Amino acid sequence: MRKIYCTILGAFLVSLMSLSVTARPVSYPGGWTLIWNTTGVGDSLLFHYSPTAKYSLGGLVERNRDLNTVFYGGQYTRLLKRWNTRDSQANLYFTSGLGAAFNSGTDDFTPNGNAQIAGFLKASADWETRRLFTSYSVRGNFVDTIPDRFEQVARLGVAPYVADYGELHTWLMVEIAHRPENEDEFSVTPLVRFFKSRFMFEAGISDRGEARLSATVRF
Amino acid sequence: MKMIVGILLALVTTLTVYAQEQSHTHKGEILEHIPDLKVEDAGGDIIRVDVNGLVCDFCAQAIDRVFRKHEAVADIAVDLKNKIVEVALKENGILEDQLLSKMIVDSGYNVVEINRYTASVDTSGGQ
Repeated sequence: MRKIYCTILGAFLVSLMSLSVTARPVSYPGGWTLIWNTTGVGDSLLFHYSPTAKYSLGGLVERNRDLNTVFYGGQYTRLLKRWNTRDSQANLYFTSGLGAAFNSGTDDFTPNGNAQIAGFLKASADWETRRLFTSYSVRGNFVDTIPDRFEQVARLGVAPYVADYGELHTWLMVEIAHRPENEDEFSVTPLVRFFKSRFMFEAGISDRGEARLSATVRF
Repeated sequence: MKMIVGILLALVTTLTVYAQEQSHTHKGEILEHIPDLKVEDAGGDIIRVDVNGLVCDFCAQAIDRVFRKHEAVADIAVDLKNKIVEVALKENGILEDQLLSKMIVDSGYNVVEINRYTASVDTSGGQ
């Protein structure tokens, strides 16, 4: 029973975490956001709340398939700077997370063994127009008994058509990830992003044949 | 005497209806001169805000959410192409420029210009 409960809770939290990875990490004042993400490297679920347009607080569950660990913790994201121009917007964010990491099974979120203090620090930037999108993030992960891990992710996207407000928007993107500690240090993932109203969905397949899916909902 | 009172009542009623029709006609004439009006006129002011940073539909949902929470707002529309936020106020609804600007900034954007079309007088001086 405990295993089922933990698995359901973990899946929910991982779903929330994935949202934070793929969508704006800070929403409007009073806005809630749910983000689910799954890749070849891991799964995540993030649920966050933005008291103001400057920062958000959330709960995160993240599973790392390489390490067979699952992280349960809180996340704080701060919008450090936003540049609004007539035809573009750019953002600079700082994110930190702190919580507990457990060993887990290979296919579930069941905590196994003692908790270890874990956390991460992340900086991310993006720039976009109605036609072009680019982003970059760098993140360091810290788990008590596991060597620190580092990753950087860059994205480039183009909109094949420019849609009006309220219509279905489509983006074609390429994501390049660099994880020096992983067996496959680099991965390239072409993906397609759709969004309409409060819903966003992404799907792609990496050069290693691994599926990447994510969904975001704003409340 | 009754006849005089009756005539006066009829006169007042006629003048009142006439005045209301004139006011409505004037508002209608103003709205006709606003190009590509996207909001539904609710009898109050129509406000057009030029906004910087308005490039992402998913993010611009914030503006919609923030403005619809205000009791004076009847309708709102976002024009990504022209970078305009259009707000229709309810009849007698009040939304001052200072608060309106704050709501735009709170949504994550910057205000360039505010044009306001009132129910009786166009105070923007143009359009």
